Amino acid sequence: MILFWRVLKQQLDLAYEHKTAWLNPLLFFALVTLLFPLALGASTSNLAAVAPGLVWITALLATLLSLETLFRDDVADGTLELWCANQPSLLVYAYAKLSAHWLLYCLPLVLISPLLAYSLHLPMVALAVLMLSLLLGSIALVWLGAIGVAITTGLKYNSFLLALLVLPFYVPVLIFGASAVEITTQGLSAAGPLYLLAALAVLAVTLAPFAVAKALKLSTS
Amino acid sequence: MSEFWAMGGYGSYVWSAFGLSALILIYNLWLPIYRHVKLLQQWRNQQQEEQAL
Amino acid sequence: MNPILKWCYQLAVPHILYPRIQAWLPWVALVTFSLLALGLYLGLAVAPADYQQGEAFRIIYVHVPAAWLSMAVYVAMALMALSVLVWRIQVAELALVASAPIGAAFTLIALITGAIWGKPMWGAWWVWDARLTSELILLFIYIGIFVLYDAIEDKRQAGKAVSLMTLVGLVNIPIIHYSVTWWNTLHQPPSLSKFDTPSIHIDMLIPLLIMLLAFKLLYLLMLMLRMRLSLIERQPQAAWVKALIKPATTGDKP
Repeated sequence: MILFWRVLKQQLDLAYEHKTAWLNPLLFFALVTLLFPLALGASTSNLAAVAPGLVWITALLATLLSLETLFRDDVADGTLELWCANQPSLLVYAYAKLSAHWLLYCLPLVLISPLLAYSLHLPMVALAVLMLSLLLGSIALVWLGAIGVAITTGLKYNSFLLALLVLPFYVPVLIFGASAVEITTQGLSAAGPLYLLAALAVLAVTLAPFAVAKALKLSTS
Repeated sequence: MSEFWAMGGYGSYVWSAFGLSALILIYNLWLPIYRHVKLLQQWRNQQQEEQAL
Repeated sequence: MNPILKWCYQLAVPHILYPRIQAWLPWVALVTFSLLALGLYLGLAVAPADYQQGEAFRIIYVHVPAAWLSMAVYVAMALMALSVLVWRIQVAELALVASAPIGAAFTLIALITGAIWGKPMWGAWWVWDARLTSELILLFIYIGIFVLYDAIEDKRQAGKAVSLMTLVGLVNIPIIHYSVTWWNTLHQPPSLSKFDTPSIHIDMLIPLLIMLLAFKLLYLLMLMLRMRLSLIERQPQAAWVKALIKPATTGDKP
């Protein structure tokens, strides 16, 4: 547990040194959201109808992009090999690394999402559900995506391969997340899909680190 | 016989479905056979060249 | 040792497996093509037309076996992946990598025939039906697996990475399928019921079962052909491969 906090703090300190790194996914999220009205037209009813899906897809892609460099520095300077020497500490490392990533890159997305959704005329009633669904969903996205990142670590041109490997696994998260928001705009309770999202997040957090650890061992050996 | 090929008016659908499937399956059977023959042939040629030297 | 068990263990040894594949190939091919011919004859010529869909329902005889195999091949791959990661069986790695394109081929067939069947039934080549959508996602998972294998240069490492990815997929595929079905009931497409298999007549069922068996054997046949190739590709320097090349006869035809 102490090890966990140490790695987490180290990651956060590192991010503090590169002051603007955490802004990148956020800017991507905001900029792509800006593109939609330009392409689809600014009509309020049109945008409102597709807003849940647009916000969700954009947040999903921003998360995927942010994940790409997750282990790159640790592979380059050799620290990853040290972690791989011992299975329990490798798991702790994976948990801490992913938690730090989520705090730095996904939490800001969740916090800014109501503003961006509002700009796409998503009804006010759905904003809270949107935040909750992104909060739960982004946890699943980070932990699931990390498997793909760990497997493709060390490969030269891995961006498209990462997307190809990970996007199919993102399908359930996207479906439940976007549906929860959409159901709310229709005045129904979104409890069902939100529970399912929570289940996905729990499943990903408990199982994915084992796959991540295995994949990291493979790609460093 | 032409009645059989017409498939009650659905002939084009039924035969294109079976035809495309057959194409994909045959390609998957042919490819490893072809590459196996080619590979052995290539190795044999190499060996003959080495012996000729 | 138990002779049957011993025979099975020997399958994991490349220079014993290769001649066995060579010996079995003609017989497997013979049985496969006879069954295929019988199934096609019964399905296309003998089975009565469906009272609702007419003759168009005959697409079932290639669509359903292909869709079934697209999932069965994945389960087989997951078993091979387990043998690679837990028992470190090298041959299983070759079988896994050989299976991915075959699984993708069956998935592609299921998609194409589903689309062709959909045209007269739904009036559109593509409808976001739960089963077709799941199949499409499965196709991308298969493609991901063999693209990943291609991308990693060290093939030993690639085999293990692919095994891991296959197992991760095994956990995810049921969840994906469930979520897609759930999503589909949320946005119900029109006239879905037409595509549901009607209570099937026995004369229609027998050809279907024969085709199913024939497709399974087709998978086995394709697997053997691909394994035969990858066994010699993987160890071109091995003594038994060198011995294969020596007699300049045409002993390599199937």
